[in-house]
Amino acid sequence: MSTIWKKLKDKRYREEYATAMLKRMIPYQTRAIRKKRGMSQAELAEAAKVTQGVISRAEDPDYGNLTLTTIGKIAAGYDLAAIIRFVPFSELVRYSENTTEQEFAEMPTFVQQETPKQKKNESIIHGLQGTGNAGNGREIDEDVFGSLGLWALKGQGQGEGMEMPI
Amino acid sequence: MGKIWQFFDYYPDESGCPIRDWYKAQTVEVQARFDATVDTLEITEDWENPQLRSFGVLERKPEHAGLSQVKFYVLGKNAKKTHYRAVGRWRKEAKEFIFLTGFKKDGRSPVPPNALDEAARLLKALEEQRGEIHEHNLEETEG
Repeated sequence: MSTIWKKLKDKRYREEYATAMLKRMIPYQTRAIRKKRGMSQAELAEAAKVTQGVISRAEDPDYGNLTLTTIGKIAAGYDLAAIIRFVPFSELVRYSENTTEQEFAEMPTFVQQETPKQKKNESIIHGLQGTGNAGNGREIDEDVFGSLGLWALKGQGQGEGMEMPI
Repeated sequence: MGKIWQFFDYYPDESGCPIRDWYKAQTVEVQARFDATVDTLEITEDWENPQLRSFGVLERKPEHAGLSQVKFYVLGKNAKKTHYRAVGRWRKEAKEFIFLTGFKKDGRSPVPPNALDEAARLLKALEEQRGEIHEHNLEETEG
């Protein structure tokens, strides 16, 4: 059992610890991502459409009054999404023990994630059109299963609803 | 594990561990804030970033040379901040921080008033290789 887990048995302790980590980890991430991307505060401020003062405060773990709107703007400035979830304390412990700055260096923007996939999609579409497997006039859409490597063929007649692994 | 920095506690002699004694004397709120500050510093690469207010090197007085501090505060009634410091030796090249003792701030003054002098005395003993350093763990081990 980890040291922190023993301490969390005290309700007042875990309330305070969770609040402190919530307030500290967003400034930590904001600073770490900016640093890993080699951006200045001014550059991030411009990308996030806020002032440099807002970025400065957002990176201050002692500020503690960040709004969701500001967090959303900073995420947009990085072309990332931000989520805040309620989690059990076991997940907080895992998060606190396993987080590293390195993972922020490798965090891709939407564009970086999208570009290779689009190329892959195009080759699949071309391949299907070439062989006629999709049938005349059928559309090929990536749905939520796209990220799992599954494709749905939409259309009429043969092949309707068929899923094709890629 | 992704820890960049390692923390230690200094045990100057058999009588105990000053940072542990200080920690045990704090409320759970102060303990939790301190632990959260340490947990985030452990994974923060650059402690010299001016935006990082959780750490500072004591530079004003020559008698406190070599001391650094982990800084945090607790919000009390009416959102009043009470500031705390855990003082120690920071070794950037070794990526380590050794806790010596802690104190509360009352304005610009430490409570107890001799806390920084005591920290300097402990630092001298540490540098003379007296006592022991243990991996940072302020959890009760007895009972």
